[in-house]
Amino acid sequence: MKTLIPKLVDAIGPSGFEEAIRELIRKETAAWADETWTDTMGNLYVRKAGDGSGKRVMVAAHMDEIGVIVAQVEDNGFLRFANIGTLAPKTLLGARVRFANGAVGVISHDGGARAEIIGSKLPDLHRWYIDVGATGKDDLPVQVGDVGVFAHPFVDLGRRVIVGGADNRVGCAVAIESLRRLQNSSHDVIMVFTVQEEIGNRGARVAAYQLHPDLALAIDITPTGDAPKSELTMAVDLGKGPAIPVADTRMISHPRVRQALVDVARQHDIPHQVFVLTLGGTDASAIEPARSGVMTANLMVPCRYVHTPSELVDWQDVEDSVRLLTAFLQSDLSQVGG
Amino acid sequence: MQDILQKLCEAFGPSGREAILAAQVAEIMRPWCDDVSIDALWNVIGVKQGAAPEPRPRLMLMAHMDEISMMVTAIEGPFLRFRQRFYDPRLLVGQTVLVYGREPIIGVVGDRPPHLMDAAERQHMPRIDDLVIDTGLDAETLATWVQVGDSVLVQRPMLQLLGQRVAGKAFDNRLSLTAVLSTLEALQSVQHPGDVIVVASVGEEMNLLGAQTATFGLRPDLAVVLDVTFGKQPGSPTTGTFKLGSGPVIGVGPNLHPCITDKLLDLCDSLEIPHEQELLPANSGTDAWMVQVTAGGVPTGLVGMAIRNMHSPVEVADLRDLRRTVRLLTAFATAADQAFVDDLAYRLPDFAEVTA
Amino acid sequence: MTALTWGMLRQLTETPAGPGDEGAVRDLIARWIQPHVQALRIDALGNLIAEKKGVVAAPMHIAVAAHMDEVALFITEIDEEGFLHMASSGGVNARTLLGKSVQVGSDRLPGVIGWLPPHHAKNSDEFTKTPDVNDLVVDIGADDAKAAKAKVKPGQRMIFDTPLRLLGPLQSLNDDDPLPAQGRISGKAFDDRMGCATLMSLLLDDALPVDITAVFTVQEEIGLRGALAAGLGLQPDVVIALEGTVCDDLPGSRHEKRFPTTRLGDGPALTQRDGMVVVHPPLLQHFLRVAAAYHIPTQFKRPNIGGTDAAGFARWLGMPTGIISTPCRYIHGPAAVAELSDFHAGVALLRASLPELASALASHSHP
Repeated sequence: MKTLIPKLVDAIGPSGFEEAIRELIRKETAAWADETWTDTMGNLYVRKAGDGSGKRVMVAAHMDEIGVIVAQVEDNGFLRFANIGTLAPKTLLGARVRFANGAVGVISHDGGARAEIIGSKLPDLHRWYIDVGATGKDDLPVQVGDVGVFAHPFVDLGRRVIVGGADNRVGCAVAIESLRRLQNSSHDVIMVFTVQEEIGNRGARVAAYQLHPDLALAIDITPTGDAPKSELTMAVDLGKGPAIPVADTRMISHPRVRQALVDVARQHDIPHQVFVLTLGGTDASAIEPARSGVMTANLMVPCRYVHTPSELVDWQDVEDSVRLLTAFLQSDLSQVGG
Repeated sequence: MQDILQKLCEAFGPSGREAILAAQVAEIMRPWCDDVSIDALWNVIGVKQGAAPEPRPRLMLMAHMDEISMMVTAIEGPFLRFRQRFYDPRLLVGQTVLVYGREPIIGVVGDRPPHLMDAAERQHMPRIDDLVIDTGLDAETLATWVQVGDSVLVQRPMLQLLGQRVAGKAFDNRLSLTAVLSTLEALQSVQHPGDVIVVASVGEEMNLLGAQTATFGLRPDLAVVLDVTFGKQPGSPTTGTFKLGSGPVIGVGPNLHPCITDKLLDLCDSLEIPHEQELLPANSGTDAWMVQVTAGGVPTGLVGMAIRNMHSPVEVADLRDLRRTVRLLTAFATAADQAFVDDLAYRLPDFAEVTA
Repeated sequence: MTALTWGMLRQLTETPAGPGDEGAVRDLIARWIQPHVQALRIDALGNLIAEKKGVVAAPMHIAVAAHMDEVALFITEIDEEGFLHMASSGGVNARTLLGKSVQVGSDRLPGVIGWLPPHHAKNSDEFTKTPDVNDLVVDIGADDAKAAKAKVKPGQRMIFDTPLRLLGPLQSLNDDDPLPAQGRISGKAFDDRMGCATLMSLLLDDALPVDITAVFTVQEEIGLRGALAAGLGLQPDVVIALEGTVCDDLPGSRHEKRFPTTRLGDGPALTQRDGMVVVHPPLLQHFLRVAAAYHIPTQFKRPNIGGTDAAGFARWLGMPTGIISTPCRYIHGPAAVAELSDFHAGVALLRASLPELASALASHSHP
């Protein structure tokens, strides 16, 4: 996984423009898949067939990431942009943007010189711009409509790793690695690498409607409650194992699916944390209401500094998440119902 | 009817945790239905067949059964931190609560004594993050009883007030559910042409979950959704609030099919049922919002009953409203025949007419 | 060029159709298009659906959608003096309401939104405060509640009564006149009767290149609800939503960097991504290619602004969507302004995009 994750974060995939990351994941999973297909939105489905006696299980990991879209080019070569997904202005000043063609730019805002040096109140997004080093319109390497993502220097800290783009390439890695390790599962497992999660869970909703599985798990990262003076009252710490939310702000995890995850973790001595996610939600909330309903829960990797270019995760949490997901998919899920 | 209300409103049924309540509701429905089922998300679906030959119209009566609740977010020594949604957090200070751990245990949401507060502090209510639940158990014992994620409800038996008034928790929406179940009972002795499909839906307070999934599976020809609405009380707005005891409140607006609305109003008039109208310019804020657009679209009506102190543990209702609502729903089920359903279809204009 | 006459556009924009009350506009459109389409029906929610045969059969199911409803005021109460109290149904711009006239209910009864004389203001700060819609009333001239209730009832819609006009030197057009090729027009409900007019232009064209399904939707302004139902009802392979969209190319304050959503007169606006969908990139590329080939001016709409029926259609099925809009200043108020050349260019772009649409999408499917 130490080679897989850097590869995944290197591929560009802002919401709605996931082609590069999709092709990479398709390649990384091909040898382990019984069947692979995509739909019109660009969701990637990777199926590992069961023996017919188990359940139809959907595992969703979104492969899109937050980013920017160029909205206007100014005469002096500066680019006005709009957000793709939610951007926190605090993380923008001086941040770097990478475009698909390799162009790189730095972000600032109108009258930003003071803010850059001593800090000041941050303006609304329409007053920010990207500087790609062009002197005017003629030597501009990008144009209106091009999309970019934040530059992600990957740093292995030993036990932990700074991996900008952990949301959700770490989740994708957990799903991919689990697929590779999966053996003798009775269940029909369909890993769905979903699109457009960051702009409203749009891919997962469509995938769930098409698959209508017996049950579903969404794999994502979660902010933690263990940073100094964290204002998030959340019982989840970095390094204490995969996190299993009882609820987020949009849905309640299906109790039986959640309990099955906990039971499997206990059987295999996998550390885990049951918690209440008090900020945001995941693809699960879009999967659950599909057709006549899908029993859905989440498996999440603890992550600090979410949605900054320097997300930080713990290798052991990632490894334990893979173990838990793999064991879950190999377990007898008949008591879950559905 | 009051027995059903009491049993339901004192039951445990937060959004996403409706399994126990679903079994109780199914039990009540069973004698009055030809078929009762509980789906994977715990929607309870009861079908009472109609008298007309097949294919009969299929009328769905839906009331959500979930209630607002709190949830344990952290265990801090002998205390519990919790989150809540949709309560005014000020209501929680000083409440006695039930924590649904391994078994229900009693707790108290305490506050600092006023003696120790300066004038400024007394002027401010504590924030939800400053509150804790005190179960009286020591840290070690507490940890064996309670887990993060457990539900917490205010502990509140139903109270009989003067006359026809009652008070309790979860009247939103067990009052409506009582009306729907009592309608099933009333239909035992009345001929109704179409199938009546009763749905106790889940997850309304969270994300209208059951309204989407149950409607998608059932695809009824028409639906009436029951939910509570705002009672008049001191300080409430003058419009969009209704006097307790003024009868069912019929929803009017784009979320509802005009023919169903008109039919409900006509039935009130002809049966001399006192009633009010709630004018809803867009989202009704009920299951009806989802039902109407699910699976290609379902003509939908909305009947409400006013309660005071909505989303508090002391919601107040008037039983006269409940009985009148049952009469109205029973009459509607009787009237919902194939001709009525056919009339719900929007018609193209007469092309023979001269056009501009 | 469109077969639409001035009179058709006039009636189309002047007829009231609040969310959930689209019958009048639906009947109008149905009567006009009925001789030109092969099948016409209305679904459970009130969407008007027309099947139009083209010169050749389309290899995929192409739906083109425009919404019939417009933002409206909604009668919530008739008080003892006979004034009508209201709420907003869809996002009416409350700053535009004072001193306007409206048409009330399906009888289109005249009414006015009055306001206190400025003499009664307590201080000048009051003049800067947007009145709350709940504090406004419509006066239909009734003596009392009884007189008012004889004519109107709660739940009816109240809609601006702005006639369609050509801006500039006063000139009168006859209903039978063709739509001028250019010129600024003003009227109400351009969001989205400009879209309806674009779609009608296709339907009235008896040499349409390929088959389409036209969907005139309901309840867009209160949450894309007609499109939500029609998406699953029709299950088209691709959806093109037609809009009259935000245009704010006005002089801003001196210090603010201008960054308009669209500009009037720069051609139809193409959406890359709005607040709810990412337009299918191959479809956007196709529009741009066709525009270039036919020398049709286009502009990009600023990203992330608003949402359209495209999102409603695609909610569960995720089919490719595209959005073509006529820029309209001052929408959601009583008098919008649009440029006819933008409209005509939008019709031309859409029509010219149809023949190669299916192959453009097929060659870009995710393999």
